[in-house]
Amino acid sequence: MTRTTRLWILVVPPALAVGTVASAMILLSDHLRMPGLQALVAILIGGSFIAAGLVARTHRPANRTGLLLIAVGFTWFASAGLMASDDSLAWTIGLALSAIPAGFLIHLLIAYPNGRLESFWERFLVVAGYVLVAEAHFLLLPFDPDPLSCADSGCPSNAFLVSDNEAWRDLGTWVVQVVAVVYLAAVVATLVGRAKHSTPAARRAMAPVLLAGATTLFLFALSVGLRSLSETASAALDWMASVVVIGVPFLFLTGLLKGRLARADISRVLAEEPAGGVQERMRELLHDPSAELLYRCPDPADGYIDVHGRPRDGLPEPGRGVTTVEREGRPLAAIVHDEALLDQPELLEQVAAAVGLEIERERNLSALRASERRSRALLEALPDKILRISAEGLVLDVQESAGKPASVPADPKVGKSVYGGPAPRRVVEGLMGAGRRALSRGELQTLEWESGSEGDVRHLEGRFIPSGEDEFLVVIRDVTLRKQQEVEQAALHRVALAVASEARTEQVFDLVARETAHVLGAHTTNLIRYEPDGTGAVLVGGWRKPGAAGLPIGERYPTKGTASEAVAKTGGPVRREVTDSDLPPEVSDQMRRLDINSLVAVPISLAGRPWGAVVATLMPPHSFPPGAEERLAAFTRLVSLALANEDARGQLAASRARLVTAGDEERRRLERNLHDGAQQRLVSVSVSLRLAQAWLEKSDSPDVAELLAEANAELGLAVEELRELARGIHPAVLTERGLGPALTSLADRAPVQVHVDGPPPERLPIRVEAAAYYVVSEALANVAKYADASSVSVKVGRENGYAVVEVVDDGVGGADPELGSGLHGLADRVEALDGDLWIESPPGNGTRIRAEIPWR
Amino acid sequence: MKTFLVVDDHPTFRKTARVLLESEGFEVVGEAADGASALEAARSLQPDVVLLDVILPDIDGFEVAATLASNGNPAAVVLTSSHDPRDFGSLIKESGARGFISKAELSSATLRALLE
Repeated sequence: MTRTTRLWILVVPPALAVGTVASAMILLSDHLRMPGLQALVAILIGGSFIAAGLVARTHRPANRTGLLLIAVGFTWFASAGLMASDDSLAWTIGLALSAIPAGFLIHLLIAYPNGRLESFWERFLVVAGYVLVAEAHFLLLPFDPDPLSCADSGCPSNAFLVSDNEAWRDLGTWVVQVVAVVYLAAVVATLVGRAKHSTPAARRAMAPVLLAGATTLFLFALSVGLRSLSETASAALDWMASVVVIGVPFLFLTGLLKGRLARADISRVLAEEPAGGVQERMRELLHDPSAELLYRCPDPADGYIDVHGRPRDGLPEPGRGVTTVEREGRPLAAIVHDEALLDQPELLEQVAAAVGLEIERERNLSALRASERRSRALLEALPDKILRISAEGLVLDVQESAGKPASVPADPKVGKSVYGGPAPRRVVEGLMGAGRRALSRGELQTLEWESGSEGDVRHLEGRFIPSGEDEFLVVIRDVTLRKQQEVEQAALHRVALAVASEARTEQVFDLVARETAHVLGAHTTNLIRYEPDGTGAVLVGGWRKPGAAGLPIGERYPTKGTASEAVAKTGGPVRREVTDSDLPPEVSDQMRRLDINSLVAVPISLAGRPWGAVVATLMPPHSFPPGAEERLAAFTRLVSLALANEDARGQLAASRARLVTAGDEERRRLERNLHDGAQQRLVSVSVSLRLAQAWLEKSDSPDVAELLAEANAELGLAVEELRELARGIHPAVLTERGLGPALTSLADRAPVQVHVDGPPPERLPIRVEAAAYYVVSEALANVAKYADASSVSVKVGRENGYAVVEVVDDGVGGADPELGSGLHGLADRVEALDGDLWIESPPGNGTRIRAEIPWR
Repeated sequence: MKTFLVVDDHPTFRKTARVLLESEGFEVVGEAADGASALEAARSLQPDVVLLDVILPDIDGFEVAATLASNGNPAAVVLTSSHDPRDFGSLIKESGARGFISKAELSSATLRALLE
């Protein structure tokens, strides 16, 4: 059972019982005039106080006002009931009790609205009031035989009458009247003073109740004061007071329900959104101009800040109440208000809820605005131009791109049709077609188109996104750079393919001239080769726009003062504009004669040396954009590669030819040696033997022994020659015993002193052994033929995975590898094994031959 | 007795040929080691037969034979070589020489068969 239910069970049945009994007693009374009216007034007054008390107690359990109201109601019933009794004692007790409600009423008024007595004076007044109302009748009754002047109408006699002494009665009446008037004046003064010194909120809350209460008391006081003068007037005033008293509890209820009634106000004020922000609205709702709204900082340790952002602490100040504003259990703010408003917790609760909603709404709004700002910043930072276009082609919105001005063909105006702009009809129809496709399919569409004029063609990409039932967004981006790169990559790819497929260099030159002209938008491109004497160049490839001036392919021209010469000198790219102030006049004049406004030349290198250049030109008024040199260089690198390939192919062919020649030469030498040497000797031996045979058959043989001895000698020489020959073809000792003994054999047969150092004890791969052997053999043969040396040093070792052979003599030097077929053959043999051969032979300083052959 | 001029750039062969010829009763009136010397010797010595090696350091034996013929030299030219005669094709016949004897087959019998 809740406290409220318990209260109602405890109060309502007794109130009904007491009220019923009192009403019955009034109605059954013999001495009351208009008992029905009196019963109604009694019920209205007692019932209204009890009902108001119950409601007050229900909504303000901590407030004594409710209890006081209930007490007034009960005593009113008791007094009215007893005074209706025809029994003298009961009637007299009722009469004595009839003043008690006034005491409660005084208590109520002084303690209103919180039910508490704040000062000694208030407590004194209340206590004095109770004493007064309790004593008033006890002072008067003993001396007044007919206190209500109703003896004539048959009311019971005074049960407490002690003396019929009029003097005492008059004195008592006078004293009571004076004390009552003074007391009531004090009460009224106190209430007025309090109202005067109250905060506006408190004053507003007290005003109606105090007015009614004060009026009631005033009327009572007046009736008491007039009682001695006019019984009729006094009775009339009593009636008036009774009617006013009926209104008192309703006024209490009105004050009590003020918080509930304020709900409508809250809704209205929130809906109106008056200027001045949440705080002003809150003040209006609370009727408290001093109320302040303090926002709670995100970090609770930081406390609160006021609406101006100033930090605030030390909550609350004396006389101020604090109500926390929460949303879903999360404290958002605090309302610092008049303490009196604590008596209207419902109002505070409603306002706090409304303020919480408002703060949250403001925060959401603020977050939304921040989000909008971010989105807008994002849009503004995008390098795109964004248009919002209706399905009919009306421009609804334009968002310019950041940075460079957008290269959208037309400059669309909001509110105008895209068809009306200067953009070509074809482009506009393409755009609208893509936009309508996006609308009908509900998905992103993309479109690319070109804009601008020759020399400044821009490539644009549009993305079309539906943005409503009949409108779409177009995000337009300048993709010129990307397009250029794509075109350039494709061109480079074609040239690289040509280079890789070993196309003839003339074809590569022509292709490069065409592709570079296309990529750079050049009016002419020329590929030139420098002449060995450094004074001129020959045009080896080129492309030019119809109408542009240029030399025929194969034409030689002097390079003095030209960009080609500058490229050859610096080894880097050169750019010239006819307007360059630092250009020699004759150069700019020549450019003008050739109708060249802008020129870029980039070197073509071969084996690290400038071989030629690519020169691209533009006629007036065009100029190459920045970075044209780098783009051209990508092509010249491929030209260099093609040249290097061709050079390598040439060297390979020459090497093959030398190998064939060397082989032929070797065969001829063998044939000659066989023919001139062993064969001749064997022929001679054969002839000699046949002759000796013939002589032996004849008896008169001259000197057969001599002939046979000669034949034997010839045969021996023939055998020796054949052995030498076989050694020349391939030294058997190398095959059988390895490089060391083979080199020793070579050294032994050499005509000069040879010192052999190495080779390593382990056997080398056969091909490497053979190559090393022939390097030494050929070197020693050269020493014997040309060097005029006194000693030779031969060194064979292993370094970093290479077999290293070095032959150094102290002869005259000056050997030229280009002239000697033997040295060339050696280089071929070494290079065939991925090795390298170096020959140093400065005149007068001997010769040093070094071969490095991979050890594999 | 027939007189011979022996033309060969190999002294060993010239010596062997001289011994062979003289043992057969021929007279060797001179020797030459190259084509030019051969022409000169043939002109001055007027031999009956020139035993002429085909491969010589300067001009070959065919040319020497042709020159002798064109000069009206009456000497019979016998070409010889250690090569197989088939290696020379029709050159032997066209040279105007009396014949060809392989060096390995040179003997009095082959010489007489050719000269008689």
